[in-house]
Amino acid sequence: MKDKNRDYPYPQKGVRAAPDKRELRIFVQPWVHEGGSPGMPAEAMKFARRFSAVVASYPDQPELPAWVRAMVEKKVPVEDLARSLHDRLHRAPTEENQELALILANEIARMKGGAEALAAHGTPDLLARLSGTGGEDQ
Amino acid sequence: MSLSFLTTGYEHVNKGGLQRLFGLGKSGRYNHISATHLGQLSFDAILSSIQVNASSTATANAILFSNTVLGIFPVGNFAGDFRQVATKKNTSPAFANMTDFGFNDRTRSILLVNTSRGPEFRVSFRDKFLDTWNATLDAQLGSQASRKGDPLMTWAAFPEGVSYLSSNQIYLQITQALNINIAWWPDYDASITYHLYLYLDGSNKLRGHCQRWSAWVEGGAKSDDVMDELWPKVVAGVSTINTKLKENLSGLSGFKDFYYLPGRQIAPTVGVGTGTTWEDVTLVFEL
Repeated sequence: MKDKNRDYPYPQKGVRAAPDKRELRIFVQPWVHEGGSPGMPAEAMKFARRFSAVVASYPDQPELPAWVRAMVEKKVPVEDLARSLHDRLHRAPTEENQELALILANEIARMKGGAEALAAHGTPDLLARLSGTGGEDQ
Repeated sequence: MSLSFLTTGYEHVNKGGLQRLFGLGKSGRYNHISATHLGQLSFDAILSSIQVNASSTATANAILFSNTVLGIFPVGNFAGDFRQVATKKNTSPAFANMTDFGFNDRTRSILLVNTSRGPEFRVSFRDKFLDTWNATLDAQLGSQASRKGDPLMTWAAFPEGVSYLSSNQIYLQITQALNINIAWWPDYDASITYHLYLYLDGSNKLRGHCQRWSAWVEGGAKSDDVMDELWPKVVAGVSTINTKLKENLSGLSGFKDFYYLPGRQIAPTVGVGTGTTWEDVTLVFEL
């Protein structure tokens, strides 16, 4: 949202026109010579650390907890896996379980019948537990 | 990682086929999902519909990138044509079929962004710096080289494997096409690129410096001669750009935080927005 007290102070240039193919050929060429600054000013480093702290990557695959491994070894139906995910999140919506839920939900989504199981159990619960009040189908 | 919002991508229109879930934490600004990650999820270039659920703390944005320009030239993650699906906090989820927006099966990287947590002030990179760039470059180039049109003023978001740049940061990138005029010889194409890093200092003033610079000259008998002439000017340009940045950014101060959005987004996107990263970059300041 734009601050009502702060008018836009710059002449507007509009968007850059789309480059033609000749221009694009120039723009996408790999560099021939390069140089750079090996470091940063101390205040830039401080900001860079702050910036990095709010950048997430898709969660790396952690080692699956024992209860999930046990269910997989028993070859439980995907429906049961999704329901367990739902119950686990309901009982213990910890940070660790939330991250695991996101990863597991994607794994369940790969399985045959996974999308339906998630729709029945996993997705509504994920929305309710992880997205505050924003979930639908609840 | 208490999530701010959750996004579901679908293989087919109207929530059909495979689905994948992506989330962004409440304290996070960005979650970047690269083509490699999408490939690991068997979800690279197959997304046809998407739902972005609302957050209770911010506007939820999912930005889908094609990683190409004009549908042909590969440009890497978080670049090229994009479609942005956004929903304001505490509202209904936003759903879109990408077939309606010319983006079916084109998503090769995804950026989730929390925006509008509070009052913001947005500035276009082109509006702020284009005139300064053109005037400075024209004064520096001399008679043997000239600008070919406006520069490409874009971003390098989370660049991987680029010397001097961090894969955890976002940089502004200016690439200028040049015409090199050689007496009694056909003209050569060339380009110069500068990557700029902007930051808020301890007094919450915006500052910036040139982090990386590079040049390209088209192949030919005179390439080395042209580069020998051009490269010292590129290097000398670094201190000039740093000086100009200091002058140009001096009026921007008193902000709590600062981040970027792709393209030109002076007004916040609601619903589905369309753009390309070559058009502009938006600097967003939290007040």
